Amino acid sequence: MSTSLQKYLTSVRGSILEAEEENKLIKLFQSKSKGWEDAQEKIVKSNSLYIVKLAYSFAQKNEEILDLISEGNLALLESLVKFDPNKEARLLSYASYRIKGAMLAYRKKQNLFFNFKVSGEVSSLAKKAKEYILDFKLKHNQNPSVSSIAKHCGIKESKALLIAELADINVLSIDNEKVRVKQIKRLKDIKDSRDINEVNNLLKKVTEASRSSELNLLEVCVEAAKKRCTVGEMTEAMEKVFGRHTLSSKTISGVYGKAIKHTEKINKIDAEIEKFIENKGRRPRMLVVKMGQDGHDRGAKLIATAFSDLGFDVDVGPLFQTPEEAAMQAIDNDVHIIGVSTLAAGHKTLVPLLMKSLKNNKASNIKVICGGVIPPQDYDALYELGVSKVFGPGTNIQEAAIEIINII
Amino acid sequence: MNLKNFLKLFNISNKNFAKQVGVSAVSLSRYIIGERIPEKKIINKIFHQTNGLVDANDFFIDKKNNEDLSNSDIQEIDSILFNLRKGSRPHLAKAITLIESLLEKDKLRANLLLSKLKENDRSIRIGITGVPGVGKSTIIEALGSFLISSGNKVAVLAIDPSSKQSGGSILGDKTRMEKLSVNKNAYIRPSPNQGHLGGVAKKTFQSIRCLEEFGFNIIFVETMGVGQAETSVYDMVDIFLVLLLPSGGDELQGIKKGIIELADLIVVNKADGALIKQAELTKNEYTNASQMTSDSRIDLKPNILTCSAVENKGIKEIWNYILKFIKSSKDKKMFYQIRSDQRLKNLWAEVDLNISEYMNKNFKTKQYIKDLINKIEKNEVSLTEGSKIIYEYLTKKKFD
Repeated sequence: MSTSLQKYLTSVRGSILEAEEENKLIKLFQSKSKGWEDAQEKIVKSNSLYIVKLAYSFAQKNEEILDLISEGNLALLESLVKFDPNKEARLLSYASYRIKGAMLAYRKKQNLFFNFKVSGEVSSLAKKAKEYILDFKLKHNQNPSVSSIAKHCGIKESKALLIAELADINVLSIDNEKVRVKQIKRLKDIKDSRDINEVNNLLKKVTEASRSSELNLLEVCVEAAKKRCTVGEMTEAMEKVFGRHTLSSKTISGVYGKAIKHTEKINKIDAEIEKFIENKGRRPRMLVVKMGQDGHDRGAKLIATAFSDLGFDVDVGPLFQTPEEAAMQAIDNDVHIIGVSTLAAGHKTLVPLLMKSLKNNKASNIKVICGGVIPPQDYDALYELGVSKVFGPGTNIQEAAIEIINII
Repeated sequence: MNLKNFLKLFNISNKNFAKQVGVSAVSLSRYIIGERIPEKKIINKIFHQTNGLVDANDFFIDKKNNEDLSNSDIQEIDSILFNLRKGSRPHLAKAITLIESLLEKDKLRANLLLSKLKENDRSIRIGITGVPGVGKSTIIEALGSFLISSGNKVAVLAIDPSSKQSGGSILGDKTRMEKLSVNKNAYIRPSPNQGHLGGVAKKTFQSIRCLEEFGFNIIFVETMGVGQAETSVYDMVDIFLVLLLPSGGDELQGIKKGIIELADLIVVNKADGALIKQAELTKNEYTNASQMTSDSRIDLKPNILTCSAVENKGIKEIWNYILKFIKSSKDKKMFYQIRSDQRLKNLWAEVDLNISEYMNKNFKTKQYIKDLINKIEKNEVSLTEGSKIIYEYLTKKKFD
C-alpha cells in the first residue's frame, strides 16, 4: 500500500457520523452559511470508508485506487449539493449510484487512456483538471473554458482540450483571431486551386440572371458554386443589379414606457435623471453599438427603446460597425457611455479595439458597458480592459438603468 | 447687471461715465469695486444713464455674480476654440454639447464661445424638408458622398420637434446615413429635443457656426415637416429644399401648401423603376402651378427637379442648381443681406425664447400671480381684466 493511501486511510478513521448529526451538517453545507467548509469535510470523511471499499473493487492497478477514491469523493460532493435532507434517507444511499457511476466512468476512461498509451502524468493532470471542472461547475453553474482549464492546470491548450473531451465536457471557446486566420487561409487555398476564367464567366452569368427573368438565379448559383465561386463573389455579382440592401433600423418608442407601471423604481429613476440634468445640463446619453458581423439587433433595439422611455437620450448606431467607427460616433455625439451589444462571441477582439480607439482619441472618459451573450469566465478579462460593467442575459432593465446612471 | 459689466459691454471708459453721472473717476472706481455704496441721488443718475440696466439692487445685493465667468472658464473656452480650429473632433462635439446644455453657467460659456467665432460667408447652408419617408436621409447621403468626393466637408444637423416630450429620445439618424456616418469628412449630429421648438432652433443655428469654424463648408439642416420647424430652418439657411413623393398632382401627401411656397428648390424623389413617369407628371404639375406661387428668396421662380436618391441619379443636377442659386444670390448682393437679416431674426427668436423662459420659470411662479390666477379661475376677476393686470405687472419696474 502506498504511503499516500495509508495516510488517507488513517486520516478518515473513526469519523463516521450518525444520521441526525449528518443531516444537520448537510443543511449547514447547503445553506452555505458560516462553517460550511468544515461541514463538507466532516461529511466526506464520514462516508469515505465506503468509497474506499468501492475503489478497491473497481481498481485494476494499485495506482488507480487513489484516483478512484477522489472520483468517488467528487461524486459524493455532487450528490451532497442535490441531496434533500428532509427526506427520510441517508446521504450515502442517495449518493451510491452516482459514486458507482463515477468510478465506472473512470474505469472506461482508463481503458481509453490505456489504448492511447498515455503516461501516468496525464492521468494525474486529468484528475486535477476534473477537480477544477467540478469546482467551477459548482461555483458558476457552467463549464469552464478550455483556456481556463489550461491556465489552471498549467498545461497546453491542446492537452486541455483532449482532457476536456475525455471528461465529456462540451466547451466551445472561440478564438476569433484563429478562426479568422483559418478562414482566410481556406479561402486562399480554394481561390488558388480553381479555374479563374470559368469563375469569371459564371459570375457574369450570375449578374445576367439577376437582371433577366429568363435565367433561374438559383440554378446559376449552384453551377457557380460547383466551380468554387465564393458566396461573397456571387453576392457581389448580384449587387451590381440589385444594389446593396441597407438595413433600416426602425425602433418603436413608447411601448416599454406604456407597459411599466409607476413603481418605486421608476420614480427613483426619474429622480436620478432629474438630478443628472441639474448637474450636467443634459440627459444621460448612451450609444448602443453592434460591432463586427453580429446581426442580432433585437436586444440592442429593446435596450434603446426601453432606455429612451425611461428618460435617456439614446443614439443607435448602424449594424456591422468597426470598433473605430463606433468610437468615432461616440465622440461625435459626445455620449456619456457606450453600450456594446454582442451576441456572436466577438467581444474578445472587438471590445479591446474599441477601448484602444477611445484611448487614441483621448476619449477614455466615455464609459463602456457590455451586454448580451458573454460567458462568465470572460467577465474578468473585460473588467481588466476597463469595461465598467457586464450585463448578462436576463438583466432587469430598470436596475440596469440605475446602475448606469451611477456609473456615469 | 452690475456696473463693471455694463461699462465693459458698452465700451465706456470710467472717466467718461463718471462725467456723465457727475462724480469723480476715483469715486466711480470705488463704486465698481464695492468699496463704497453711492448715495440715492447718484444711484438714480446711474439708473438713467444706463437706461435701467444698472439699478439699486446691483449695488446693495451682493449676489454671487453668475454673470462673471471665472478665469478658468475663459481659459477653457479659449482652449476649446483653439482645438476646434485645429480640427479636433472631440472638441467640436464638446462645443456643441456646451451649446445644448441647460445649465445657466454653460449658457454663459456658450455665449462667450460664440462671441469669438468669425462669420463665414463662404459656407453653404442647405435646408431640407419633406414628409417622413420621402427620402431626406437618402438624398443627404447621396449628395453628401458626392460632395465629399469632390473635396468638400459636409455636416448634417436635424431639427426634430416631433420627438416625445415625456422622457428621452431615440436618435437613429446615423442608421439611415450609413456611408456618411463613417466618413471622416462628414459630421452628423442628432440632437435630442429638450423642450419646445424655439430652443432647438436656437441651438441649431449656433451649432452651424461652430461647424463652420471647424471647417465644414456645406451644412445640411434637416427637418421633418411637422409643426412650424420649416420657418425656423428657412431662416437659418441659404437655400431651402422641399422634397416630394412622385404621387399624382393634386394630392399633396399631407404636406402643407405653405411649405411649397417657402421652397427655393423642389425635388421630386424616387423617380426610379415604375414611378419614373409618375415623377415626371408631378414635376410638370408643380411647374405649371408655380406660375401662381411665390418666388424664392432671390426673386426667381423655384426650380423643380426630379431625382432618384437610391439610384444616385439627378444628384449632380441638384448640386449644380444649388451652386447656380448661390452664385446668383451673391451676384445680386442678396446673399449677405439675407444672412444679416437672418442673424437679426434669430436674435429676436432668442429674445422671445428668453422671455417665455422668464415667464415660465420666474413670472408665473410668483405668489401674487398665482393668487391672481386663482381669482380668475373663480371668476372673481374677468379674463380681460386679469390680462391687463398681468401686463401691468410685467411692464412696471421690478421691485423684488
